[in-house]
Amino acid sequence: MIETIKYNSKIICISIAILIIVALGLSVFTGCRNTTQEFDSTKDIDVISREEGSGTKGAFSELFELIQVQKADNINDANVANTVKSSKIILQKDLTTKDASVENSTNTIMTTVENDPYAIGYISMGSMNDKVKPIEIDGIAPTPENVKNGSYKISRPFIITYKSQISPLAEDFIGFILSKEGQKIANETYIEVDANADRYAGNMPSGSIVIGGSSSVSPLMETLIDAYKSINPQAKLQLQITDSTTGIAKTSEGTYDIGMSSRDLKESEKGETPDANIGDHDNDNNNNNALIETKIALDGITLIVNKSNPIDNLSKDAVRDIYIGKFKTWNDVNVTIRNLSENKSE
Amino acid sequence: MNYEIKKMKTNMKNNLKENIMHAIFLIAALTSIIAVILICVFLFANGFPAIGKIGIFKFLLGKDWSPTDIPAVYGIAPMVLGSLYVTAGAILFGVPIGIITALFMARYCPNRLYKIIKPAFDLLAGIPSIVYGFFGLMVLVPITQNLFGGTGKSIFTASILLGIMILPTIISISEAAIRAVPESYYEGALGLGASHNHAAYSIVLPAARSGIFASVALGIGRAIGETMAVVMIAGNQARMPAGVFKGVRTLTANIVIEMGYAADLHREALIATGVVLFVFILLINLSFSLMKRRIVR
Repeated sequence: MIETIKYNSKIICISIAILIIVALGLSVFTGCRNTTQEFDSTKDIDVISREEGSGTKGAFSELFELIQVQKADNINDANVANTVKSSKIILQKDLTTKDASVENSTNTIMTTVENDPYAIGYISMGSMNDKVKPIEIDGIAPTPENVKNGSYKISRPFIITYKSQISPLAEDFIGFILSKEGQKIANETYIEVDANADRYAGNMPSGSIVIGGSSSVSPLMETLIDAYKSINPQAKLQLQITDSTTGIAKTSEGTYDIGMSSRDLKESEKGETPDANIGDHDNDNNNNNALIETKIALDGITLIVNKSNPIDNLSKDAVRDIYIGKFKTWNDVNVTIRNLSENKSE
Repeated sequence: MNYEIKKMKTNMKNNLKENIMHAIFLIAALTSIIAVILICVFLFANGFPAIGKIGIFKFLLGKDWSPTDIPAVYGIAPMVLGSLYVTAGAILFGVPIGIITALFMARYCPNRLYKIIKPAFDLLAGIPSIVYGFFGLMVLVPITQNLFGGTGKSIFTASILLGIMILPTIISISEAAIRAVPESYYEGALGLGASHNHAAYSIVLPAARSGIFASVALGIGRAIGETMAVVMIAGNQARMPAGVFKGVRTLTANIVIEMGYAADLHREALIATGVVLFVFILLINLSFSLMKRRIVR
């Protein structure tokens, strides 16, 4: 009798355990395939942004006016006005909503958007794939062609910067980047700046130079360096991956021969004013310290949403309203789109 | 006489060997101590000036973190709370499961099953945290999103994942503590008429409690210091926690996300965030060693 009770309770225990495991497994399964469900536009928008200081975020915020800037325009002293054209920024505020998720890589953003029907995020155009849906801005599709002809404005330049007097090797390498061969490499994943460049016709000097800066530009620079080394084997080119700000500062100091940046140089960084060279010992030839900037490629920024999201076109203002947290649900976005189209038809 | 000299010689030889080995062991021990001291010096030397510049109350209690604004605002209260909430959630989820599992493994588990389960938990401990993070992103996040709405990246998701991650720590230490309880406790209980269940739950488990507390303390240490997995599934919003199903940023996430781009005071503020984290870990380890002392006693 006791034996059978023990036996029965054991069977009950095991069956409960199996049931729980099956239930867990089923919930995992249903969790994994949620993309088939219908899009519910009353749901909140899941805004995804990049971390503070990232080059992509900087470019995105600037293009969509997500940064509120107040400049000290009222400084009208004669001596200040003469030296500094751009006035000093006294107040700058990032308006991106604090409710936005912050991801620190393009890949995480793409996976999140792929799995979350209500998410919106932005990535580099070169990383785009067909698991997420790109959004048109004001009716212009985010394609390399549209960036090239200037109709799609959401792009940032890849820039190299250098001093006016540089070594022959650096000059030759810059020539290679801007040549037909170099631009062809740039056009493979990014967008070339000069489609009609001449063929490379350098004199292949030997020597060694240091190139450093933005981690966004580095993959392109690496391929360019490899290609150049196969043409000019005596050259020693060293690549140091840091970030745009460091790249510009170290080029100005002279540590790097060529600096890489994924944003335009700020006026203060170009070093044309004597003020920028405080602490520099060779003040006698200031003009040599001025930095020259050259675009080597363009990188578009694409807004992406989940594939189940019916929206495929947003106005620039709508994107801004989403990112400052004015639009909470996808319905808010839809209403604005409808109003716009009604106004147009009237 | 001759014999005495021989003995002295061998003694000296042995002593020399002994001394050399002594020095080697001492150096090995000092290496890790020096590393700890260097880390302390680096953290405090770089972190404290920043805290001083920002103001200790503004830094610890400030609710706003906007390092790229002008003027920049550095308040880490959201991150401190985020770390505490996520860790508390992990404890809530991981500790009961961990302790029950440990008791099961020590007192109930059939030998054949034990041979399968034990290596499985060891494997769980060895999985890199980035893999846990990826698992969370691909499996846990969609599930929470389906069940509770929102982005799915939330305190809840992070707590569950961290709860799973601290399981091996809690199980292995608790199991060792339960096994260390003298067999006479269990046998005595049975002898007095207690059932197996009663003896295991009411006699053996309480007797092992200091070891179990120690395992919980270590689990807290692991949860609060976890970075890569949490970054991927917590949402990382730098604002005061707004709910269990809303995203949150932890202290570790704050450092790893922004370190790559930070400069000047922003960078120092991140190191100061590290100081706060370090103090947390210090407190946890202190309580751990206090509990350990009680076990020895």
